[in-house]
Amino acid sequence: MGEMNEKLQSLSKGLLGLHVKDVFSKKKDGLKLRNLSDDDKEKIRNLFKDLEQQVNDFVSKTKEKGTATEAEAEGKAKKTRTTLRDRVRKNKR
Amino acid sequence: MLGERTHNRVMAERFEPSCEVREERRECPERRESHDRRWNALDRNCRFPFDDEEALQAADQVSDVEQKSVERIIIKDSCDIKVRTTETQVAVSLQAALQVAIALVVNLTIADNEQAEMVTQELLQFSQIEQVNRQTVYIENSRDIEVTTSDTDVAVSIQLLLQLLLALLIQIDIF
Repeated sequence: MGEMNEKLQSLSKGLLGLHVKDVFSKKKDGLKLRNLSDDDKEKIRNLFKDLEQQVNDFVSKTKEKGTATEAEAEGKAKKTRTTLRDRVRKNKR
Repeated sequence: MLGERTHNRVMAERFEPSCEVREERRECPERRESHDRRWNALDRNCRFPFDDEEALQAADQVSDVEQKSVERIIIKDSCDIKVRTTETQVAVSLQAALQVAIALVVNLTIADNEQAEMVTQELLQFSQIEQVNRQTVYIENSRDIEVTTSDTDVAVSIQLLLQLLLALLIQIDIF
């Protein structure tokens, strides 16, 4: 599952890269691009790293909560709930 | 008259036909749901129909999930309900921050305002950033229920935005 997730992530990265390239190349003739200073580029890089950190924290928190909740629900269900399948098995024994 | 009879038949199918009070009064059973039920979650002395050693505890739960911006949980005639929701405010703020970052980078890179606006719109439109979650969970006549909502869809949306921002930065030679 994790491997599949990684593959999908790299796939979506590639697709988005192509899309951005396409958007820029469509308007190439009329696009007036500015040259950013090294200082500005550094600020933008830091901004991106900061956002990336926050996004990763949020995503991992969401995953953890989801896993914890599922485990708790399963545990609870095992203690208090018997499915029809379990009852049939029990009767067979 | 036909409409009323059909309505009453539909209502009758939902509740026990042996209820004398309902037959006497001939009212819409929905107004006296707690009386008509065999199992009443609010009554501690009421025995759950399947409650024995091989108990199968079931809760009546209607979950309706739509794609909008409000989270709603309606709890009716129930008790011991635990509700857990994840922080949507953080997700919304992150989403907004990423959108602003993309718009900012485009505006810094492209000198012409109109062109910058057009490029921003195209990038964000493609990613369908406007989708937000709304969930409606309806719990009725239930006991010992735990509701947990999560923001998986928002997490995916945020990751897409981040990837879009990265692709943009690579395109303009910042990375």
